[in-house]
Parts: sequence; structure tokens; C-alpha cells
Amino acid sequence: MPQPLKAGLPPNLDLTGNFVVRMTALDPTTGAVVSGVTVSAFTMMVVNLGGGTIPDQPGFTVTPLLQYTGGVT
Amino acid sequence: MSADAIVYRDGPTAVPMTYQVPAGSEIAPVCLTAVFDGTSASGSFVPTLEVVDPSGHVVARVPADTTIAAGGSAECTFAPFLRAQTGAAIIQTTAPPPSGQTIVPLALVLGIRTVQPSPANFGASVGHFGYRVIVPRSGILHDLAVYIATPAGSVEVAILNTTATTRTILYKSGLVPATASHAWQVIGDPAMQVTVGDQLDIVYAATSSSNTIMWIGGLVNTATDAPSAQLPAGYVPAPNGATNLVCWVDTTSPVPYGATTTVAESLLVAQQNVPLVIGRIGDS
Repeated sequence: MPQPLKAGLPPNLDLTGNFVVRMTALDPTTGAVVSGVTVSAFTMMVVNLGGGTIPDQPGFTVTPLLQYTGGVT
Repeated sequence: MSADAIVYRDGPTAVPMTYQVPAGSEIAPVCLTAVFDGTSASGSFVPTLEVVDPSGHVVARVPADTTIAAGGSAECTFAPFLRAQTGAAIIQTTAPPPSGQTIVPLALVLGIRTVQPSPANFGASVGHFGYRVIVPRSGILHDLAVYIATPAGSVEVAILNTTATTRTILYKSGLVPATASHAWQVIGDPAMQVTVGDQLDIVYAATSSSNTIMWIGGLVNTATDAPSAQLPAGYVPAPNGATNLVCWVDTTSPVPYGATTTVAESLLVAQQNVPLVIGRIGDS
């Protein structure tokens, strides 16, 4: 079981096209990327500010969330 | 702000793993999680999230607060308000919430009742009752409100600074008729700029002991447990010499404050009951 960690995230982080979200592993002393580390089970919840469909990017899958539209059934 | 979509990648993928926002799209990340596997790591590492602009400049770098030894692994969650856990301590972030609104937290919460404590001088015109808060975010403080069960007479709320032994009255509402019945009533709107980390004394006074409000009770014995309001030295940092009083009563200053502009610390007497006065902090 991986050790659970938490970290802050800047709020109101609006990212337009071609911005990059990068998950990396840095050497705590030098700040260099540490080789041999892998990332898996990446999940990013996002607000779609642009509207429309967010296209898939290579290696990534985008799944829209169902939105409550009101009303009682 | 609710999320609209989830972006997945199962991996494993060697670091750095990059997700490029598609051209023509605009997204706001709400929460990110990933498992960092250091089984084959060349050394210890810190899981880190970076945001890079289209020209390649790093605009944000968010490291986890824990270093993972080579061979170890971690599941790291990046979200607003989250910081690393240290032992059993609860760490409160000072990052501003995205909602732009929040309730000023109390310095101490022991219990809530809506009756007068004994002796029944709480809320009477015998003085002002104050308690210390630490401002959780920067912004404009609005709408100081109390929950009134049975209205009677008038109410005053105020804010004192704690940056000097003699407090300056930063805001005072003057007397406002208590009208709410089993409901919150906004007594005054300071519309006052506050800065995260500020320590303020929030003050309540009433002209009638019949005006019952929601309050937070300390220990039962009024006489002997009043010192519970006086915390040990250094427990709650009090800049510039202001006393570490969590809650106090001032029976000397006039009710309402009126033309009074300062309150000497010598007038503040530790007592164990806290009037529940809430406020909200917005961006404007």
C-alpha cells in the first residue's frame, strides 16, 4: 500500500490550451528529476471552463461527469 | 465549483509525466491524485506537481511535504487546503478557499448552548465579552452575526486588534435592536480588510440579560474555571505583548463603546464563556 501523502493545490488555476500539468519526482537536495520513478493511476478532476468536449490526449482518457440538471423523478 | 470531467492515465509512466491541455480547451484542475512508485528510483524523491505555461515556464511547483526513500512509493493527492500530516496534529492551511467565502473560526470550541450561563450576567449590560480569532484568509470581513434565541434590548458587536497591549477598537456597530427570534441576525458589517494570520478579538455586548444568544460554554464553575481562558504562554501567539486570552469580559468600558476608541488590557478579565459571533470573509 503506497504511503498516502497530501499537498496543496493553488486554487483558481485556470489553464488554457497548451498549458502542461506535470507530475514529477524531484531530488530533495538538487531539485533534479529522479530517474526510475514511475507514475500510475493518475486522476485529475477538472472544471471544463471552455465548454464543449475536452479531447483525449495521447495516453489520457477524459470522462465527462454526469451533471444534476434539477427536477424530481 | 463542481467538476465536469475526470482525466485518467493508468500508467505506469516514467516521470516526468505530462498532460497538455488540448488547444482550444480551458480547464481548472480541482483535485489530482497519482501513485509514485520508487521501486527502481535512483535516489530519494519528492512527489511534485508542476504547471508549465505554453512557452515552457514553470508557473507553479507544488511538492509534497514528505520525501520518499528510494524503493518506496506514495499515493499523493493535490487539492486546495491540503498539506502534509505531521503526527497526529491537525494542520490548518492558510490558503484562501476558492469559494471566496468562509466563516471566521473560533479560537476554542468546547460546547454550544442557547441559554444564559450562571451567573446570568452574560449578555447583560455589564460589559463586553470578547474572544480571540485567527483570521483564516485575507479579504474583506463582512456581516458579524449572532444567533438570537429570544430577542430583548439591543446588541453591539465590535472588533479589537491585538497588536498592542492597549487594543484599538477597529470596528463597533453601536447598539442595534435585537429582532431575530431563533435565527441569525447580522448586527453589523465591518467591511474591513483582514489579513490571513491576523489575531482579532471579536466582541459582543447586550443591553438586556433577557437577550439569549448561542454561546460556547467553557467549564462549569464560573469562579474557579475562569482561568481556562488564559492559555499557557506561547500557546496562542500574541504579538506585541497582547495577553493570551481566549475569552474575556470587560465590565469597565461603556456599553455601547460609543466614543471609546481603545481598550486597555488591564480591563480584560479572563472568563470561560464565548459569545458566538460569526462573520464571513470575501474577496470584496
